[in-house]
Amino acid sequence: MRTIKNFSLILATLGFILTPALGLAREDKPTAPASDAKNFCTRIANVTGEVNSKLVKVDQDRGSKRTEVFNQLKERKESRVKQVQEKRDQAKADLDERLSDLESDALTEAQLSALAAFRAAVAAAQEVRKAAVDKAMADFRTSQESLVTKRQDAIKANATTFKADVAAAMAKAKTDCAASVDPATVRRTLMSAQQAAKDKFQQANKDLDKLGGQIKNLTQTRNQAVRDANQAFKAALETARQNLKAAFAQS
Amino acid sequence: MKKILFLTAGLMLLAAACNAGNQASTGNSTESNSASRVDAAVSNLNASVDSEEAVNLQSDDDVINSDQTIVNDYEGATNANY
Repeated sequence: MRTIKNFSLILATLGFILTPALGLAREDKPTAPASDAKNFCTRIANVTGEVNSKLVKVDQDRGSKRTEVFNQLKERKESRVKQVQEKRDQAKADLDERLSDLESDALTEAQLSALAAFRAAVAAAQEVRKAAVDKAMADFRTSQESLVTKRQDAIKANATTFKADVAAAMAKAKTDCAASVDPATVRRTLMSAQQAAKDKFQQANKDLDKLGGQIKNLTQTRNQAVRDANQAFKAALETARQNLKAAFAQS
Repeated sequence: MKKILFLTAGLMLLAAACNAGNQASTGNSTESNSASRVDAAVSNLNASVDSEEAVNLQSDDDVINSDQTIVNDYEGATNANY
């Protein structure tokens, strides 16, 4: 008997805790009790003001985000260009040092000649690689910037339409209230119009995914071009290496 | 006297043989050093290219897509006490 009593107590406690939580989970749209719905027309001015303020704030945030995105892309580009240049300078200095050592090792004219040929082959391969990589990177950055601009413009245009749709829905609600339409009906109509505006906004923003796909293709093209250039360089370098080693093996 | 002459000639031959051996050894050593230097130079160039590639192929998707929150914020802005 005591166990049943305890069990009932636990169930009651759980019910007390979970009932409001479940109620909140179901409430994914703003709702109001029937009495509040009747008073909707008295609140319409406040509601309109609140929504407009939030939309103005989000619009400002969007503008800041646009600037932030372009600034970050620019900073990354500058940082990467600098890093790449440092790596190229370091590689050149290291190669010069090693080739000087090899010159000291050279015992014959044939070896010195092979060393000169190696130096020339490496320099030529480096020029070809540098031109190909730099072009791939420049093409990528230009096209990426263009697509990001399109993306930002699309967000702005979609937001402008969304704000206009919301404003129109609010204006109709005000007009209906002024015309003494049943406040509950006005409220329902407004909510429905806002949901339609959201659906339209979401649909329009799906185009952003298409732009994302274009950026992905662009990235793949860049990666392939850079990798191809690097592979071609390594192949040329390997041939030059074998020729030089053969010359130094014939002493 | 003959013994001394034979001994001297023997020593001279031995010295010549040692000298030839040393020269061959030095030649081999130089060749080996040169081969290592060529390999090291090429290896270093390849490593530099790989390192540069890693920098160039970094993604910017995180920056580009960071505006997604703004899109969500527009919808959230219409939530009010209706």
